[in-house]
Amino acid sequence: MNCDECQEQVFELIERESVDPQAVHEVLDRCPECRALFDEMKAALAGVAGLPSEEPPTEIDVAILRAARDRVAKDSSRRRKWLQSTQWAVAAATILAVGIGVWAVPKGEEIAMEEVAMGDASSEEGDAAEVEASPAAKSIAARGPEKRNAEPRTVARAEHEALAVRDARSPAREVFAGAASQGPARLAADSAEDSSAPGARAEPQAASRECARRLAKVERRAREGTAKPIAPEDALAIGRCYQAVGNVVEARRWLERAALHPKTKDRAARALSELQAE
Amino acid sequence: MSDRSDELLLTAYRAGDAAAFETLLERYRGPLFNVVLRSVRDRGPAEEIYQDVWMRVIERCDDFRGDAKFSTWLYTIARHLCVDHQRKMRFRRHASLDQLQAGSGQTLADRAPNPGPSTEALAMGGVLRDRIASAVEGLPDEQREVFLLRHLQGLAFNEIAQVVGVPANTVKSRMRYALERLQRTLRDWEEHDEL
Repeated sequence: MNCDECQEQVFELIERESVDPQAVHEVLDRCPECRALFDEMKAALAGVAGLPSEEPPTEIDVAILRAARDRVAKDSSRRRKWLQSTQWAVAAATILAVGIGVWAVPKGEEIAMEEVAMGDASSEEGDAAEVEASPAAKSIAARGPEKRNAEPRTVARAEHEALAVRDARSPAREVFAGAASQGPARLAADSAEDSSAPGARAEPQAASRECARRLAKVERRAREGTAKPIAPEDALAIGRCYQAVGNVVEARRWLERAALHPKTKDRAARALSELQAE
Repeated sequence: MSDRSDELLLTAYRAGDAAAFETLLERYRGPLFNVVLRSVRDRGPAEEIYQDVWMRVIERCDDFRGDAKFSTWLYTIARHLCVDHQRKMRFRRHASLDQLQAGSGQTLADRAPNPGPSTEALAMGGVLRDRIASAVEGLPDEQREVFLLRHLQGLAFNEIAQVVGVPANTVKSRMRYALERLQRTLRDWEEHDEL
Protein backbone atom coordinates (compact mmCIF):
# COMPACT_ATOMS: atom_id res chain seq x y z
CA MET A 1 0.00 0.00 0.00
CA ASN A 2 1.37 3.43 -0.93
CA CYS A 3 0.87 6.76 0.90
CA ASP A 4 -2.06 7.90 -1.25
CA GLU A 5 -3.93 4.67 -0.63
CA CYS A 6 -3.12 4.88 3.05
CA GLN A 7 -4.40 8.47 3.31
CA GLU A 8 -7.59 7.35 1.60
CA GLN A 9 -7.92 4.63 4.22
CA VAL A 10 -7.08 6.74 7.27
CA PHE A 11 -10.63 7.83 7.77
CA GLU A 12 -11.95 4.29 7.40
CA LEU A 13 -9.38 3.10 9.91
CA ILE A 14 -10.51 5.64 12.50
CA GLU A 15 -14.11 4.77 11.84
CA ARG A 16 -13.26 1.06 12.13
CA GLU A 17 -14.48 0.45 8.60
CA SER A 18 -11.10 -0.15 6.98
CA VAL A 19 -10.90 -3.01 4.49
CA ASP A 20 -7.24 -3.73 5.31
CA PRO A 21 -6.35 -2.15 8.66
CA GLN A 22 -3.08 -4.09 8.93
CA ALA A 23 -1.71 -2.57 5.71
CA VAL A 24 -2.74 0.97 6.79
CA HIS A 25 -0.99 0.52 10.14
CA GLU A 26 2.18 -0.60 8.37
CA VAL A 27 2.23 2.60 6.26
CA LEU A 28 1.45 4.78 9.31
CA ASP A 29 4.39 3.21 11.14
CA ARG A 30 6.89 4.06 8.42
CA CYS A 31 5.50 7.38 6.96
CA PRO A 32 5.49 10.48 9.27
CA GLU A 33 3.24 12.42 6.86
CA CYS A 34 0.53 9.76 6.88
CA ARG A 35 0.89 9.47 10.65
CA ALA A 36 0.39 13.25 11.01
CA LEU A 37 -2.77 13.11 8.90
CA PHE A 38 -4.07 10.23 10.97
CA ASP A 39 -3.40 12.10 14.23
CA GLU A 40 -5.04 15.28 12.93
CA MET A 41 -8.14 13.49 11.89
CA LYS A 42 -8.34 11.61 15.14
CA ALA A 43 -8.00 14.87 17.02
CA ALA A 44 -10.73 16.45 14.93
CA LEU A 45 -13.05 13.59 15.75
CA ALA A 46 -12.16 13.80 19.43
CA GLY A 47 -12.84 17.50 19.23
CA VAL A 48 -16.26 17.16 17.70
CA ALA A 49 -17.09 14.56 20.30
CA GLY A 50 -17.24 17.54 22.62
CA LEU A 51 -20.15 18.93 20.69
CA PRO A 52 -22.49 20.34 23.33
CA SER A 53 -25.57 18.25 23.96
CA GLU A 54 -28.85 20.05 24.39
CA GLU A 55 -32.01 18.82 26.05
CA PRO A 56 -35.48 19.13 24.55
CA PRO A 57 -38.01 21.05 26.68
CA THR A 58 -39.75 18.89 29.25
CA GLU A 59 -43.19 20.24 28.34
CA ILE A 60 -42.75 18.90 24.81
CA ASP A 61 -41.88 15.47 26.17
CA VAL A 62 -44.95 15.65 28.40
CA ALA A 63 -47.13 16.54 25.40
CA ILE A 64 -45.63 13.66 23.40
CA LEU A 65 -46.27 11.17 26.19
CA ARG A 66 -49.84 12.43 26.53
CA ALA A 67 -50.40 11.89 22.81
CA ALA A 68 -48.90 8.39 23.08
CA ARG A 69 -51.24 7.49 25.93
CA ASP A 70 -54.23 8.98 24.10
CA ARG A 71 -53.53 6.74 21.16
CA VAL A 72 -53.39 3.67 23.40
CA ALA A 73 -56.67 4.71 25.02
CA LYS A 74 -58.30 5.28 21.61
CA ASP A 75 -57.06 1.96 20.33
CA SER A 76 -58.36 0.06 23.33
CA SER A 77 -61.77 1.74 23.08
CA ARG A 78 -61.82 0.97 19.34
CA ARG A 79 -60.96 -2.64 20.13
CA ARG A 80 -63.71 -2.74 22.74
CA LYS A 81 -66.18 -1.27 20.29
CA TRP A 82 -65.12 -3.76 17.68
CA LEU A 83 -65.54 -6.60 20.13
CA GLN A 84 -68.94 -5.32 21.10
CA SER A 85 -69.98 -4.99 17.49
CA THR A 86 -68.67 -8.51 16.87
CA GLN A 87 -70.76 -9.79 19.74
CA TRP A 88 -73.81 -8.10 18.30
CA ALA A 89 -73.03 -9.46 14.86
CA VAL A 90 -72.63 -12.98 16.25
CA ALA A 91 -75.89 -12.65 18.19
CA ALA A 92 -77.71 -11.36 15.10
CA ALA A 93 -76.27 -14.12 12.94
CA THR A 94 -77.28 -16.75 15.50
CA ILE A 95 -80.83 -15.43 15.67
CA LEU A 96 -81.00 -15.35 11.88
CA ALA A 97 -79.64 -18.88 11.61
CA VAL A 98 -82.12 -20.16 14.19
CA GLY A 99 -84.94 -18.32 12.40
CA ILE A 100 -83.99 -19.83 9.05
CA GLY A 101 -83.67 -23.23 10.69
CA VAL A 102 -87.11 -22.96 12.30
CA TRP A 103 -88.60 -21.94 8.97
CA ALA A 104 -86.65 -24.36 6.80
CA VAL A 105 -86.92 -27.60 8.79
CA PRO A 106 -90.72 -27.89 8.75
CA LYS A 107 -90.63 -26.72 5.15
CA GLY A 108 -88.26 -29.56 4.33
CA GLU A 109 -90.48 -32.02 6.15
CA GLU A 110 -93.50 -30.70 4.30
CA ILE A 111 -91.72 -31.16 1.00
CA ALA A 112 -90.72 -34.69 1.95
CA MET A 113 -94.28 -35.46 3.01
CA GLU A 114 -95.64 -34.01 -0.17
CA GLU A 115 -93.28 -36.19 -2.16
CA VAL A 116 -94.48 -39.21 -0.24
CA ALA A 117 -98.12 -38.25 -0.45
CA MET A 118 -97.97 -37.41 -4.14
CA GLY A 119 -97.17 -40.97 -5.08
CA ASP A 120 -95.87 -41.82 -8.53
CA ALA A 121 -99.01 -41.49 -10.59
CA SER A 122 -102.01 -40.35 -8.62
CA SER A 123 -103.09 -37.05 -7.17
CA GLU A 124 -102.75 -36.17 -3.52
CA GLU A 125 -106.49 -36.19 -3.09
CA GLY A 126 -106.87 -39.75 -4.26
CA ASP A 127 -104.06 -40.97 -2.09
CA ALA A 128 -105.53 -39.33 0.93
CA ALA A 129 -108.83 -41.07 0.28
CA GLU A 130 -107.01 -44.32 -0.19
CA VAL A 131 -105.13 -43.97 3.04
CA GLU A 132 -108.23 -42.96 4.91
CA ALA A 133 -110.07 -45.94 3.61
CA SER A 134 -107.42 -48.47 4.38
CA PRO A 135 -107.80 -50.54 7.56
CA ALA A 136 -104.20 -49.83 8.53
CA ALA A 137 -104.89 -46.11 8.45
CA LYS A 138 -107.98 -46.59 10.53
CA SER A 139 -106.08 -48.58 13.12
CA ILE A 140 -103.39 -45.98 13.27
CA ALA A 141 -105.94 -43.23 13.57
CA ALA A 142 -107.58 -45.16 16.40
CA ARG A 143 -104.21 -45.56 18.10
CA GLY A 144 -104.34 -42.04 19.35
CA PRO A 145 -102.47 -38.79 19.15
CA GLU A 146 -99.32 -39.16 17.15
CA LYS A 147 -97.37 -36.49 15.45
CA ARG A 148 -99.54 -35.16 12.66
CA ASN A 149 -96.66 -34.74 10.25
CA ALA A 150 -95.34 -38.21 10.73
CA GLU A 151 -98.75 -39.90 10.34
CA PRO A 152 -98.99 -40.34 6.55
CA ARG A 153 -95.61 -42.02 6.45
CA THR A 154 -96.56 -44.39 9.21
CA VAL A 155 -99.84 -45.16 7.50
CA ALA A 156 -98.13 -45.87 4.22
CA ARG A 157 -95.56 -48.07 5.92
CA ALA A 158 -98.31 -50.03 7.71
CA GLU A 159 -100.15 -50.43 4.42
CA HIS A 160 -97.07 -51.89 2.76
CA GLU A 161 -96.34 -54.18 5.64
CA ALA A 162 -99.86 -55.51 5.42
CA LEU A 163 -99.43 -56.03 1.70
CA ALA A 164 -96.09 -57.75 2.18
CA VAL A 165 -97.62 -60.23 4.61
CA ARG A 166 -100.51 -60.94 2.28
CA ASP A 167 -98.24 -61.28 -0.74
CA ALA A 168 -96.10 -63.73 1.16
CA ARG A 169 -99.20 -65.83 1.74
CA SER A 170 -100.44 -65.71 -1.85
CA PRO A 171 -97.89 -66.22 -4.60
CA ALA A 172 -99.30 -63.53 -6.84
CA ARG A 173 -96.58 -63.73 -9.40
CA GLU A 174 -97.40 -67.34 -10.14
CA VAL A 175 -101.10 -66.58 -10.31
CA PHE A 176 -100.57 -63.86 -12.86
CA ALA A 177 -98.03 -65.87 -14.75
CA GLY A 178 -100.80 -68.43 -15.04
CA ALA A 179 -103.23 -65.74 -16.05
CA ALA A 180 -100.87 -64.67 -18.76
CA SER A 181 -100.75 -68.19 -20.11
CA GLN A 182 -104.56 -68.48 -19.94
CA GLY A 183 -104.87 -65.23 -21.85
CA PRO A 184 -108.17 -63.85 -20.45
CA ALA A 185 -109.87 -61.61 -22.94
CA ARG A 186 -111.38 -59.49 -20.20
CA LEU A 187 -108.04 -58.10 -19.22
CA ALA A 188 -107.48 -56.99 -22.75
CA ALA A 189 -110.91 -55.41 -22.81
CA ASP A 190 -110.22 -53.55 -19.56
CA SER A 191 -106.98 -52.26 -20.88
CA ALA A 192 -108.77 -51.01 -23.96
CA GLU A 193 -111.39 -49.30 -21.83
CA ASP A 194 -108.79 -47.76 -19.51
CA SER A 195 -106.72 -46.20 -22.19
CA SER A 196 -109.61 -45.54 -24.65
CA ALA A 197 -107.09 -45.49 -27.46
CA PRO A 198 -107.74 -47.45 -30.67
CA GLY A 199 -104.38 -49.20 -30.49
CA ALA A 200 -104.99 -50.18 -26.91
CA ARG A 201 -106.88 -53.30 -27.86
CA ALA A 202 -103.79 -55.23 -27.20
CA GLU A 203 -102.94 -58.86 -27.08
CA PRO A 204 -104.20 -60.74 -23.99
CA GLN A 205 -100.66 -61.77 -23.19
CA ALA A 206 -99.53 -58.17 -23.14
CA ALA A 207 -102.40 -57.34 -20.76
CA SER A 208 -101.47 -60.11 -18.37
CA ARG A 209 -97.84 -58.96 -18.50
CA GLU A 210 -99.10 -55.55 -17.47
CA CYS A 211 -100.95 -57.18 -14.55
CA ALA A 212 -97.80 -59.01 -13.52
CA ARG A 213 -95.76 -55.80 -13.76
CA ARG A 214 -98.17 -53.86 -11.58
CA LEU A 215 -98.33 -56.57 -8.99
CA ALA A 216 -94.54 -56.86 -9.00
CA LYS A 217 -94.42 -53.16 -8.31
CA VAL A 218 -96.66 -53.58 -5.29
CA GLU A 219 -94.57 -56.52 -4.11
CA ARG A 220 -91.36 -54.55 -4.52
CA ARG A 221 -92.76 -51.67 -2.55
CA ALA A 222 -93.83 -53.98 0.21
CA ARG A 223 -90.37 -55.57 0.32
CA GLU A 224 -88.51 -52.28 0.32
CA GLY A 225 -90.94 -50.71 2.71
CA THR A 226 -91.27 -47.72 0.39
CA ALA A 227 -93.54 -45.21 1.95
CA LYS A 228 -95.54 -44.55 -1.21
CA PRO A 229 -99.19 -45.52 -1.26
CA ILE A 230 -100.59 -47.66 -4.05
CA ALA A 231 -101.90 -45.61 -6.94
CA PRO A 232 -105.60 -46.01 -7.79
CA GLU A 233 -104.70 -47.01 -11.37
CA ASP A 234 -102.54 -49.81 -9.95
CA ALA A 235 -105.33 -50.88 -7.63
CA LEU A 236 -107.77 -50.98 -10.54
CA ALA A 237 -105.37 -52.95 -12.71
CA ILE A 238 -104.61 -55.43 -9.95
CA GLY A 239 -108.33 -55.88 -9.31
CA ARG A 240 -108.82 -56.60 -13.02
CA CYS A 241 -105.99 -59.07 -12.92
CA TYR A 242 -107.53 -60.99 -10.01
CA GLN A 243 -110.86 -60.82 -11.81
CA ALA A 244 -109.24 -62.27 -14.90
CA VAL A 245 -107.87 -65.26 -13.01
CA GLY A 246 -111.13 -65.76 -11.16
CA ASN A 247 -110.02 -64.72 -7.67
CA VAL A 248 -113.25 -62.91 -6.87
CA VAL A 249 -112.43 -62.01 -3.27
CA GLU A 250 -109.12 -60.31 -4.10
CA ALA A 251 -110.57 -58.78 -7.23
CA ARG A 252 -113.41 -57.20 -5.25
CA ARG A 253 -111.06 -55.98 -2.60
CA TRP A 254 -108.79 -54.16 -5.10
CA LEU A 255 -111.66 -52.85 -7.20
CA GLU A 256 -113.45 -51.45 -4.16
CA ARG A 257 -110.24 -49.73 -3.31
CA ALA A 258 -109.96 -48.24 -6.77
CA ALA A 259 -113.62 -47.17 -6.58
CA LEU A 260 -112.75 -44.84 -3.72
CA HIS A 261 -110.73 -42.64 -6.02
CA PRO A 262 -112.69 -40.24 -8.27
CA LYS A 263 -110.33 -40.88 -11.12
CA THR A 264 -110.96 -44.63 -11.20
CA LYS A 265 -114.35 -44.66 -9.52
CA ASP A 266 -116.50 -45.28 -12.62
CA ARG A 267 -114.31 -47.93 -14.14
CA ALA A 268 -113.96 -49.72 -10.81
CA ALA A 269 -117.74 -49.61 -10.33
CA ARG A 270 -118.26 -51.14 -13.78
CA ALA A 271 -115.74 -53.86 -13.02
CA LEU A 272 -117.46 -54.59 -9.70
CA SER A 273 -120.84 -54.88 -11.37
CA GLU A 274 -119.30 -57.26 -13.93
CA LEU A 275 -117.79 -59.21 -11.03
CA GLN A 276 -121.18 -59.54 -9.37
CA ALA A 277 -122.78 -60.62 -12.60
CA GLU A 278 -120.14 -63.34 -12.92
CA MET B 1 -34.57 1.16 31.63
CA SER B 2 -35.88 -1.84 29.77
CA ASP B 3 -33.43 -4.20 28.04
CA ARG B 4 -35.87 -4.83 25.24
CA SER B 5 -34.84 -3.80 21.74
CA ASP B 6 -36.33 -0.69 20.17
CA GLU B 7 -38.36 -2.83 17.80
CA LEU B 8 -39.84 -4.90 20.64
CA LEU B 9 -40.70 -1.75 22.52
CA LEU B 10 -42.51 -0.37 19.50
CA THR B 11 -44.40 -3.64 19.08
CA ALA B 12 -45.37 -3.52 22.75
CA TYR B 13 -46.56 0.05 22.33
CA ARG B 14 -48.68 -0.92 19.36
CA ALA B 15 -50.22 -3.62 21.51
CA GLY B 16 -51.22 -0.99 24.07
CA ASP B 17 -48.19 -0.71 26.36
CA ALA B 18 -47.76 3.05 26.85
CA ALA B 19 -44.75 2.48 29.13
CA ALA B 20 -42.87 0.95 26.20
CA PHE B 21 -43.22 4.20 24.31
CA GLU B 22 -41.94 6.09 27.32
CA THR B 23 -38.78 3.95 27.27
CA LEU B 24 -38.27 4.68 23.57
CA LEU B 25 -38.66 8.38 24.17
CA GLU B 26 -36.18 8.21 27.01
CA ARG B 27 -33.64 6.47 24.77
CA TYR B 28 -33.89 8.83 21.84
CA ARG B 29 -34.98 12.21 23.16
CA GLY B 30 -31.44 13.60 23.58
CA PRO B 31 -29.79 12.28 20.40
CA LEU B 32 -32.82 13.05 18.24
CA PHE B 33 -33.23 16.55 19.53
CA ASN B 34 -29.53 17.30 18.98
CA VAL B 35 -29.55 15.90 15.45
CA VAL B 36 -32.59 18.05 14.64
CA LEU B 37 -31.17 21.10 16.37
CA ARG B 38 -27.84 20.87 14.56
CA SER B 39 -29.62 20.27 11.29
CA VAL B 40 -31.98 23.23 11.38
CA ARG B 41 -29.62 25.42 13.45
CA ASP B 42 -32.49 27.09 15.22
CA ARG B 43 -33.98 26.05 18.54
CA GLY B 44 -37.59 27.09 17.90
CA PRO B 45 -38.11 25.12 14.68
CA ALA B 46 -35.97 22.30 16.15
CA GLU B 47 -38.44 21.90 19.02
CA GLU B 48 -41.37 21.88 16.63
CA ILE B 49 -39.71 19.32 14.38
CA TYR B 50 -38.69 17.20 17.37
CA GLN B 51 -42.32 17.10 18.53
CA ASP B 52 -43.59 16.41 15.00
CA VAL B 53 -41.20 13.47 14.65
CA TRP B 54 -42.59 11.80 17.75
CA MET B 55 -46.16 12.56 16.75
CA ARG B 56 -45.56 10.82 13.46
CA VAL B 57 -44.06 7.86 15.27
CA ILE B 58 -47.25 7.68 17.35
CA GLU B 59 -49.54 8.05 14.35
CA ARG B 60 -47.69 5.76 12.00
CA CYS B 61 -46.26 3.12 14.29
CA ASP B 62 -48.57 0.58 12.63
CA ASP B 63 -46.75 1.25 9.34
CA PHE B 64 -43.39 0.25 10.79
CA ARG B 65 -42.61 -3.00 9.00
CA GLY B 66 -39.74 -4.16 11.17
CA ASP B 67 -37.40 -4.90 8.25
CA ALA B 68 -35.32 -1.85 9.27
CA LYS B 69 -34.15 -0.72 12.68
CA PHE B 70 -36.35 1.61 14.66
CA SER B 71 -33.51 4.16 14.83
CA THR B 72 -33.24 4.19 11.02
CA TRP B 73 -36.98 4.76 10.72
CA LEU B 74 -36.95 7.46 13.38
CA TYR B 75 -34.10 9.39 11.78
CA THR B 76 -35.62 9.00 8.32
CA ILE B 77 -38.74 10.76 9.60
CA ALA B 78 -36.59 13.40 11.28
CA ARG B 79 -34.53 13.94 8.15
CA HIS B 80 -37.63 14.40 5.96
CA LEU B 81 -39.00 17.02 8.32
CA CYS B 82 -35.64 18.79 8.51
CA VAL B 83 -35.30 18.81 4.73
CA ASP B 84 -38.84 20.22 4.41
CA HIS B 85 -37.96 22.91 6.90
CA GLN B 86 -34.73 23.77 5.09
CA ARG B 87 -36.61 24.03 1.81
CA LYS B 88 -39.05 26.45 3.37
CA MET B 89 -36.19 28.44 4.80
CA ARG B 90 -34.57 28.79 1.38
CA PHE B 91 -37.47 30.98 0.36
CA ARG B 92 -36.36 33.44 2.95
CA ARG B 93 -33.51 35.34 1.38
CA HIS B 94 -31.75 36.25 4.59
CA ALA B 95 -31.90 34.95 8.10
CA SER B 96 -32.88 37.49 10.70
CA LEU B 97 -29.93 39.01 12.46
CA ASP B 98 -31.92 38.87 15.70
CA GLN B 99 -32.58 35.14 15.42
CA LEU B 100 -31.12 33.12 18.30
CA GLN B 101 -28.57 30.52 17.20
CA ALA B 102 -28.73 26.91 18.36
CA GLY B 103 -26.65 26.08 21.36
CA SER B 104 -24.95 29.42 21.84
CA GLY B 105 -27.98 31.56 22.59
CA GLN B 106 -26.35 34.30 20.52
CA THR B 107 -27.91 36.13 17.60
CA LEU B 108 -26.35 36.21 14.16
CA ALA B 109 -25.64 39.90 14.70
CA ASP B 110 -23.66 39.04 17.80
CA ARG B 111 -21.48 36.72 15.83
CA ALA B 112 -21.07 38.69 12.65
CA PRO B 113 -18.20 41.03 13.55
CA ASN B 114 -15.91 38.18 14.57
CA PRO B 115 -15.25 34.87 12.76
CA GLY B 116 -14.75 33.13 16.10
CA PRO B 117 -14.88 33.70 19.82
CA SER B 118 -12.12 35.79 21.38
CA THR B 119 -9.21 34.38 23.39
CA GLU B 120 -10.86 35.65 26.53
CA ALA B 121 -14.03 33.90 25.57
CA LEU B 122 -12.14 30.71 24.92
CA ALA B 123 -10.88 30.80 28.44
CA MET B 124 -14.45 30.63 29.63
CA GLY B 125 -15.98 27.17 30.07
CA GLY B 126 -18.02 25.83 27.19
CA VAL B 127 -16.74 28.21 24.55
CA LEU B 128 -14.72 25.56 22.76
CA ARG B 129 -17.83 23.47 22.54
CA ASP B 130 -19.70 26.41 21.09
CA ARG B 131 -17.00 26.77 18.50
CA ILE B 132 -17.29 23.11 17.55
CA ALA B 133 -21.04 23.53 17.36
CA SER B 134 -20.62 26.48 15.04
CA ALA B 135 -18.20 24.52 12.90
CA VAL B 136 -20.66 21.68 12.59
CA GLU B 137 -23.46 24.07 11.73
CA GLY B 138 -21.24 25.54 9.04
CA LEU B 139 -20.99 22.22 7.24
CA PRO B 140 -22.94 21.76 4.00
CA ASP B 141 -26.32 20.06 4.61
CA GLU B 142 -25.33 16.74 3.04
CA GLN B 143 -22.14 16.46 5.09
CA ARG B 144 -23.72 17.73 8.26
CA GLU B 145 -26.56 15.21 8.33
CA VAL B 146 -24.13 12.34 7.80
CA PHE B 147 -21.79 13.68 10.44
CA LEU B 148 -24.59 14.15 12.99
CA LEU B 149 -26.07 10.73 12.45
CA ARG B 150 -22.66 9.17 12.84
CA HIS B 151 -21.44 11.13 15.81
CA LEU B 152 -24.55 11.98 17.73
CA GLN B 153 -26.50 8.83 17.12
CA GLY B 154 -23.67 6.42 16.31
CA LEU B 155 -25.44 4.90 13.31
CA ALA B 156 -23.43 2.57 11.09
CA PHE B 157 -22.63 3.81 7.59
CA ASN B 158 -25.10 1.44 5.98
CA GLU B 159 -27.84 2.66 8.32
CA ILE B 160 -27.03 6.26 7.48
CA ALA B 161 -27.16 5.24 3.83
CA GLN B 162 -30.72 3.99 4.37
CA VAL B 163 -31.78 7.17 6.15
CA VAL B 164 -30.25 9.49 3.60
CA GLY B 165 -31.01 7.32 0.58
CA VAL B 166 -27.52 7.15 -0.93
CA PRO B 167 -24.94 4.31 -1.18
CA ALA B 168 -22.78 3.58 1.85
CA ASN B 169 -19.63 4.65 -0.04
CA THR B 170 -21.16 8.08 -0.68
CA VAL B 171 -21.90 8.33 3.04
CA LYS B 172 -18.25 7.54 3.81
CA SER B 173 -17.05 10.18 1.36
CA ARG B 174 -19.36 12.79 2.82
CA MET B 175 -18.19 11.89 6.28
CA ARG B 176 -14.56 12.25 5.28
CA TYR B 177 -15.17 15.65 3.66
CA ALA B 178 -17.08 16.77 6.74
CA LEU B 179 -14.21 15.82 9.00
CA GLU B 180 -11.66 17.52 6.78
CA ARG B 181 -13.75 20.67 6.76
CA LEU B 182 -14.23 20.65 10.51
CA GLN B 183 -10.53 20.12 10.92
CA ARG B 184 -9.81 23.15 8.71
CA THR B 185 -12.33 25.37 10.49
CA LEU B 186 -11.00 24.52 13.94
CA ARG B 187 -7.42 25.05 12.74
CA ASP B 188 -8.36 28.45 11.31
CA TRP B 189 -9.83 29.51 14.64
CA GLU B 190 -6.72 28.33 16.42
CA GLU B 191 -4.58 30.39 14.07
CA HIS B 192 -6.87 33.42 14.59
CA ASP B 193 -6.50 33.04 18.35
CA GLU B 194 -2.74 32.94 18.05
CA LEU B 195 -2.68 36.26 16.16
